[in-house]
Amino acid sequence: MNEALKQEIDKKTLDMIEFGILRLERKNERTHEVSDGDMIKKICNIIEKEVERSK
Amino acid sequence: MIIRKITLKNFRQYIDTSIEFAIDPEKNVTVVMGDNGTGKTTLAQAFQWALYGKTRFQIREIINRIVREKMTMGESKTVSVTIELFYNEKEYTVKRSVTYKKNAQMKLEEVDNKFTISDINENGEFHYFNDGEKHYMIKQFLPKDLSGFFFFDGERIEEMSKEIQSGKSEDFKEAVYSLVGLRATQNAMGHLKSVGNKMSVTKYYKAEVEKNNKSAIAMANYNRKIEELQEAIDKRKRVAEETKEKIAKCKKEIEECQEIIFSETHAMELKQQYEKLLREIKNLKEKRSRMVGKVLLKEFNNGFFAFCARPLIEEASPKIKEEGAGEKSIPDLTQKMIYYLIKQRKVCLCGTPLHENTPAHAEIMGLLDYAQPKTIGMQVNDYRMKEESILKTDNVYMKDMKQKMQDISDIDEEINAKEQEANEKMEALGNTDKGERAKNKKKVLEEEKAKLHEKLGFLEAEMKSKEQEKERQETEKGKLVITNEDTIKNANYLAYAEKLYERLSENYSKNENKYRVLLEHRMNEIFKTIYDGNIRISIDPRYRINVNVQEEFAAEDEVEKNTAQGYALIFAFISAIIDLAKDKINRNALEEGDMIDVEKEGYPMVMDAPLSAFDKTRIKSICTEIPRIADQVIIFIKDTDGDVAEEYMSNKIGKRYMVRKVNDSSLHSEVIGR
Repeated sequence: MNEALKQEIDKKTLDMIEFGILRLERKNERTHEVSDGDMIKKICNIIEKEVERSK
Repeated sequence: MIIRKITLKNFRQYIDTSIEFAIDPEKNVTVVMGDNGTGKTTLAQAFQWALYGKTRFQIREIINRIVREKMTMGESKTVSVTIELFYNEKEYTVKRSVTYKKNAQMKLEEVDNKFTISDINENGEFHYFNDGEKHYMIKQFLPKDLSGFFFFDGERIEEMSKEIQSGKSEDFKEAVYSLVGLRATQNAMGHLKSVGNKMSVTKYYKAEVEKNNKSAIAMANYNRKIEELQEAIDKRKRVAEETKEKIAKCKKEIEECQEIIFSETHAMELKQQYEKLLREIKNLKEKRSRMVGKVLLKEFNNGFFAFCARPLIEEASPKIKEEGAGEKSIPDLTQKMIYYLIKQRKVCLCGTPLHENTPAHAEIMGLLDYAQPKTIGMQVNDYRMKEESILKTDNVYMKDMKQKMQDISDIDEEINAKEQEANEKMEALGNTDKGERAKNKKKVLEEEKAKLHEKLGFLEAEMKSKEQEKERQETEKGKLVITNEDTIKNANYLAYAEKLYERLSENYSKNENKYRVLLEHRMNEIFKTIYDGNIRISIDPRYRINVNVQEEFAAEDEVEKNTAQGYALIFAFISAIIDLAKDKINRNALEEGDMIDVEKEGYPMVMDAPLSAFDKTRIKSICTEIPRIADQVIIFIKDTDGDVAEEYMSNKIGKRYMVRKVNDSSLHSEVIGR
């Protein structure tokens, strides 16, 4: 199922997700304020927000 | 970050000293010269202490010794370093201070420790950052893990140089990854996909999909069970409907039979009498049921004890009477007295001796049974009173019960009589062949009807049970209703996370290699200008910097060559990564909204005695390159090297200072402009 879903991935949405995640990682790289667990939650939020927005 | 000014109070040799640095991009070099031992290293260390709270002093005490000696008992003095800097076109003040107090033993105690960062707001008022913001601002100005490349002295350069020589490269790798953004990509990859037990985004979504798949299986099971239950209910409903129809048919046929029986009877009076008898029988049975349930059983419970006790009393009474125990009690003579007469006095009240094994002794011992505290006679009398009460109660109970039993028995007889009479009347009714057949048929039909009723009751009970089970399954299924949608969503999120990981992984490999090659190229370019091209630098995939020395150069003094090489390598390295970072940030300017704008911001290089290891030719090269590489250069240098540096950097020097001892004391220095 995943391979089939990967074929349907919207490039623009993926670009937006990449932008959001790297921006978040860069900020945390400097501040180290967010734990790994919270970073995973934040990344999930970015993915979900962008995927839902693209529908 | 560009440093405008530093102010030191009571810090090591400096009691009250301020230095303003060159900030003009065209003349961005500040030279601070001084003899050995005047306090140049202290000045260089003051930056790191103010920003990060760390120094590399061998003697950890930071308070000026003259100030310390002059302090009286109970007196407090504060050591502070204040840095005024520009960051992102705004001016900030960073101040670190420690207050000491001299205690009763004349020893210093640290009583206060402060670290503040402030800026000036639109109204011209000071704004102080809170603890979280301070931490963030320092990272913004210049992260501590990168500070070693921008604030350095001879010792630090030697350390880095040794690391290069021994093939250790972690610091260099970290610096490159951090500055060119590879660390962020690496971290993102680690968060998206992980190995082992570590949690990651893909693991999270996989677990959700898995969980939802399990829910989907569970839902299918619920659906199947609900379907089966519904089928079973429907089947029973059909059977129940059929049974009801059969019952109705039976009832109708019984009525028809009844009609036939009646129609075959000419005496209407007989028919009415029969119906009346049936009604009376029904009433009598109801009355009997009430009497047995409510009246008889309740009263039986009340008198049950007396009823059970009577046979025992009737058996015990004649025996007690026969013994005559009640009459043998001895008034006013207690057991204690008898024991006294036998054991202590050994003589009776009448004067008869009471020796053992004599008739008198035996006689008096026999009297013990009838002496107080409670004699047998008394106990027998008590028993007789109780016995009388029980028997009295039982007499009333028995009388009442007998009456009620008699009443029930009378009703039974009446019912039997009326049933017999009804049967006789039925026999008399329809006493024809047709009537007889109808009667027989009616009997069979009634039996069948009773069986059908029983079957219907059973079916209804089963249906109720199945309905309840179905409701329970539907409630459980209801909890899973949305999970199927979630499965699709989570699978979609997972696909994006995995695709992004693939993309980042691919870009990471490309960029990592690209930046390493670029870094190597830039380092060689810069290194050539400093070190006249006799050395070739290469960086392996693990960021180990290898120095390939030409044969004629290798013949020179090893120590001097290695130290100089180390310095040159570090200059080259720092210059190269700043260039790379600027290049990278320029290309990604659009997506770097909140990043440090290196192009605008720049980095300072604060160096303590950087030229000591170089000869004049190389000093010239370094002095030409450093102001070009860094946006601000603050250089602490000894007089002899300083003259050479000033000569080669004269057009870039914006400020010049001299450090000197006050009154030739090694405990007090001052900085004066030149």
